[in-house]
Amino acid sequence: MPGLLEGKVAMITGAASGIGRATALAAAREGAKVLVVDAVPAGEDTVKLIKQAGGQAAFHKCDVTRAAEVEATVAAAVKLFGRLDCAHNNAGIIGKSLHTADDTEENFDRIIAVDLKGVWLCMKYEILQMLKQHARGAIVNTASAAGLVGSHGQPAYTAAKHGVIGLTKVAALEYARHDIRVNSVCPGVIDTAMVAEMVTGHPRLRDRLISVEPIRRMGKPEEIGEAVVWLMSDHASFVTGASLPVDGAMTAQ
Amino acid sequence: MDRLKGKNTIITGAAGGQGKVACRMFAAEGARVFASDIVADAAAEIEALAPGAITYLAADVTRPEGIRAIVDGATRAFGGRIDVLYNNHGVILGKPFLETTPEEWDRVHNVDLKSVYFLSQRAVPAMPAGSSIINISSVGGLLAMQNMSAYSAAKGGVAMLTRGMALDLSPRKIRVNAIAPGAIDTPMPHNFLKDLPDKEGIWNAIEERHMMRRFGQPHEVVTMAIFLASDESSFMTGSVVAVDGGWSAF
Repeated sequence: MPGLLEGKVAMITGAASGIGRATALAAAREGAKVLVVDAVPAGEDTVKLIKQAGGQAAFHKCDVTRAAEVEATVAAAVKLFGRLDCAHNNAGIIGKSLHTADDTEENFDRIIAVDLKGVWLCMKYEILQMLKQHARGAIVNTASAAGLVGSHGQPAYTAAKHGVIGLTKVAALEYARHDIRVNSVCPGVIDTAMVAEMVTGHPRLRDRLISVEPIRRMGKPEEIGEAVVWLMSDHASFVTGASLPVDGAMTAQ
Repeated sequence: MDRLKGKNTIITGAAGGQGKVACRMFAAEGARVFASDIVADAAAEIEALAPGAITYLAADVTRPEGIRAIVDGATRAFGGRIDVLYNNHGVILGKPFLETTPEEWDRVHNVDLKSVYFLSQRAVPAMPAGSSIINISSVGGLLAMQNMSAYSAAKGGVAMLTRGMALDLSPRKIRVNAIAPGAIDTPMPHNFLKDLPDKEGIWNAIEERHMMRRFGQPHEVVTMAIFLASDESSFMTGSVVAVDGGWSAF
């Protein structure tokens, strides 16, 4: 029985851990050949997990804030697997938690560079490759509930994630006629290392994060991965420019 | 082909263009389907879409006795458990603001909004933790369109109702989401436009509102419904998702 991404080549950034790893595993399970992309070598562990489960994957190291590295990453996908059909632009940092008036230029610039400019750079080179192929392409960007609403102590992160939704809509509009779909997924609070780091030393923060979820629990990375894989698949053939909240009703209220 | 294996599913509006595709595709994914529509003699046709997997009942969702017949009939047929409620039924109304009558307002609201509320309310006691309700809003429930004010009020209502239901039903771990389709190529838009003077021009203009420059096909909405019905969407609730070829993002 063919999987949702049978025969497709997918690149996933930030795939050494968390949501990116979950997407990579789900994509491989659904038949995709996966390029695991991350700035840290733990991406090799994601590749191992995929191969153990019988899938195909390779790792490529990349800092998404550097255009040359992103260009080389897309080239690597083509060299290894022959083409690029889908991408999950998921690499992201939350940075330091600082209020608007306390934030530093360094913190602000770094978050914008990874979370916003990095998404644009990845889309740029992915789209250039997809246009060469004259076939269907599907891109999913990881935005956030903080791309829809404000997030206390996260001015740059919120701005970047709102911006990711904007970038998603523009790219969707510009390339709809070329059969390239672009959507974003908006996770709520997800049980990942990034969130664990954020709540370290702030015991009440973890409880507060869960209490804003009407369903009273954090989401699992796999629950985002499934949504991303679905959006990358041909089942989402009429979905473009959309922002999919996967957030346990957090932004419904 | 078993993403909905064993899921007892109610599909309303089952005799329409969207509904028939839904019945067939849900059954193909392993769901057991209790289908309903107002069409009196559709049982043979609908049940033939997936022999043995679909039961059809004619009923009027705008009447309390119709709601009782659907929910109680499904509950009995499924041995007490409903896993998925797909509120797919709906009617459209295109009338300038100054011309809509109270009867027309009532009709579109009774079918598209009020019945969703009370059908879901009656079904919930039979729905266990992990079950899923899917409502149909519309791109017209997100954005305004000429001559669609009453319809937009109803479909916008469905979007907000979905969110309210998600909150109230989250203690029961029942997920509630809505799809906001763009223009979908079923008999509905053809009927809607058929008596208008420049129907081809209007059809093209509607196509142009989608980034993809085309109508959607019914299966492209049903795939989203299947995703929302399945356990793969386990962290999704309270969301309204556009399946509209980019219309509402533009």
